[in-house]
Amino acid sequence: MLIDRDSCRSRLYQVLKLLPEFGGEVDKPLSGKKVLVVEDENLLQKIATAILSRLGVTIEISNNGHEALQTVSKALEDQRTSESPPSLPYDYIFMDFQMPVMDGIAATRRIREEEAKYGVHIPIFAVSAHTDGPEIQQMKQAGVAYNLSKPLNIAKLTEFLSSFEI
Amino acid sequence: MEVGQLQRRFLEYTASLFNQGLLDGQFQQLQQLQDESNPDFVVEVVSLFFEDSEKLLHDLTIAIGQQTVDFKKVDAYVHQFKGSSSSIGAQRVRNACIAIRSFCEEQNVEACMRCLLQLKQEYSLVKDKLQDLFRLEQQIVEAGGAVPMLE
Repeated sequence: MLIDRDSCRSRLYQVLKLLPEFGGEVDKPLSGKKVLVVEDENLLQKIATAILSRLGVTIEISNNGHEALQTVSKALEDQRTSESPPSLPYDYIFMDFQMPVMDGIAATRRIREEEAKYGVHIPIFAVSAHTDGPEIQQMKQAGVAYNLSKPLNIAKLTEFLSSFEI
Repeated sequence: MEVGQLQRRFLEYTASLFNQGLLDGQFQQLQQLQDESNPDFVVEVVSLFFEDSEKLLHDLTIAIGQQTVDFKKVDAYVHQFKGSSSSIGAQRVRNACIAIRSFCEEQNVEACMRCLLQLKQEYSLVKDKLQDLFRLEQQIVEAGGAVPMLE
């Protein structure tokens, strides 16, 4: 598939414009988005929260895969019974890999199964220290859309989320 | 000491920590996340890091000191420590964790013990330096100045 240079360039400008270094909307470029952060460590929860808040995102936290599954299941169930038009309860889920009770891969699989009942699909991003290897394959098979490498970084995350939207 | 001097001292000290490889860009990330709505963010995050680290080092010492070492357990602790140290930009601590992991794979207890000692030294060093840095920050604020950021 050939992409013409002009649309490439305009897409690049669209993404760059959002970055503070290019005079972009420093204030809340991803305002209105709702993210579920699934992470067991306090320190990493705190950092993820600060980064996403800076981007204008509303955050909820689950301490492990099991909590995340319960939270998502309940949100999907509540939406079904509500009067308002259907929408995703979360725009994205950021899923840590290694967690107690239920890990990231199992949680992703179970969330996908749950979603299938409602015919919806919330993009799940793994937040992992791994960049390749069998774990990455397992993540993809479980239904992860993309692997965001640790540690999270404001500029990289802004760029990624903006281009994911386009 | 007047504010300007304190600020210069702070910037020089911060720069030296980056130059020595004690801290990396991730620490600057944390500084960027600090603002009026989150004025103590860096201190809070680093304090959490100190708490977590002390517990991890304690658990690691016990695990490596066992008659029969459970390398899977050791690896899990080190993996966690690697994650937390890299998230605050404690580069040399992170590198010491990477060294231990390779010896874990080889199941080399003596090498793991040596690396653990190294890890403790690196942690101790970065902890002292960060505490000095926060003290300098405090002096600036008490003198009525704003804490400058390294460009």
